Amino acid sequence: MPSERTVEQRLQRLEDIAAVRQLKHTYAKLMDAGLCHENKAWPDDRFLALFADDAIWESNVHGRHEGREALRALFAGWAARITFAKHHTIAPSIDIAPSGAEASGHWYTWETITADGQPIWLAATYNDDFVKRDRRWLIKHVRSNIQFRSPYHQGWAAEAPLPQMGA
Amino acid sequence: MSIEDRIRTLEEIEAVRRVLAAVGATCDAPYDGAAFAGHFTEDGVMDLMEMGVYTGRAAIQEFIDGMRARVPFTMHYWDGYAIDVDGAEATATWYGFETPNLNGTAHLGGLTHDATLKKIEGCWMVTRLGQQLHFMTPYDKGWVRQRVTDQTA
Amino acid sequence: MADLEERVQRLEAIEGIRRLKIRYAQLCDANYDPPGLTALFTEDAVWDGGDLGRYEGHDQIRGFWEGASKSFTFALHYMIGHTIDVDPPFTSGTGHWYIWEPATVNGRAVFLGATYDDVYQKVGGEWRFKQVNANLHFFTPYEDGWVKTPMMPMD
Repeated sequence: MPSERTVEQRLQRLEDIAAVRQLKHTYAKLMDAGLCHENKAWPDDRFLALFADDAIWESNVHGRHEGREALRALFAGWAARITFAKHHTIAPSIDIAPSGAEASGHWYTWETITADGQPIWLAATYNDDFVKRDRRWLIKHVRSNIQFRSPYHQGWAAEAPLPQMGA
Repeated sequence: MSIEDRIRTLEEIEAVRRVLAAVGATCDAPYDGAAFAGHFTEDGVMDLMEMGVYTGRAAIQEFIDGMRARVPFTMHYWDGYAIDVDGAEATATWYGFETPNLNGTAHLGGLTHDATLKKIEGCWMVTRLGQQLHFMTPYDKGWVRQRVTDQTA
Repeated sequence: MADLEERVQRLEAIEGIRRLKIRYAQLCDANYDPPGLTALFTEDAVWDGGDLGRYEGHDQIRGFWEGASKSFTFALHYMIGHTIDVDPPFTSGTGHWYIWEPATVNGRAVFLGATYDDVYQKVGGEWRFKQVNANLHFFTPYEDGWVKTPMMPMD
């Protein structure tokens, strides 16, 4: 910890880490509330408001989607197929940039999903970027590297490894 | 405690959490024995109970690199940290589950961990890492039918 | 902007509540330690698990843990993620968590998935549970998975 930072700046960094951690949890929670039998009007504005206007969502399986409307279409496609999802989003490692206006974070996710009526385990890592605008943290770039998507009754050793994106 | 000391405690808890997250990530496949062992003090100890006790960076690195040769895929999901910091020393406990491919079979592992750390020249270093293995089961069996598969065989 | 003291108090409260939840997990995994777990609740607390039952006050809550310690012979409570919200004067708070729990129930391997909505209260300088709402998503035999058998019977 550089000693020239004031007590106020050090406290601000801890608050920003806590805020980014809560933002990612809220992302998981609202997505899981949306991806269910009862809710076909998802993604809603409350969920999309977690993202910056120019946000990017990309994964090694789903490709790259840029801008809020592209994200809306991507997530609506999931909602059409997924009737149950729990994104257990684990082990946050969060860095706040020296500017205090940008952050990056790494997580693991362990997902229990029902897609097209079938139970699936999904394991992935997230390498995400965040931006602070009007004193609020927003998701800027989600990079999800999916490690496996395996049918419940098969397990994850039967398939070839998925190609991974670079950092 | 002064405001500054209280902030320092919160910073150190966060710093220890970060170091342990980095330790966990370096034993995901492909295992990186050198990076993993680099988080330990020179005389650091890794106590894996039924899987052996490894003392010193060289022995720890050799064990982890040996896993790399045997285990083509795994992930370490570590969370649920309880961290106590007292000056330049810290203790931590946490939960982990793992998803290795052992001998061509998907396995599910449930573990708890504990560690002691020391802050040396501004870096938190692991002096001891412990592991309690609750199950490591072939995915088609589950922990009631077969609790543990030997990972070192 | 709140003053420094208040801002530090908020972060300390979040850390204190996080520790309370992990302590809860650890005691559950130590065969549900009924006295230890009960002590983490306020005298008038409610533990509400929907189909798992609703228990109010120390006596009922202790009874629930005593029952759990007999039927759940093994469990690992993975407490995952969280949002914790606290406001001045930092004597109460709310939290949301995920749990993923492999367990052995009456001799069968099961997976339990749930989320928690908690209310916390500070009593005598220590954080305690005032209300725990466990929202069960699946409680499935290992062999079945959450589509075939989302909720197995409890007994």
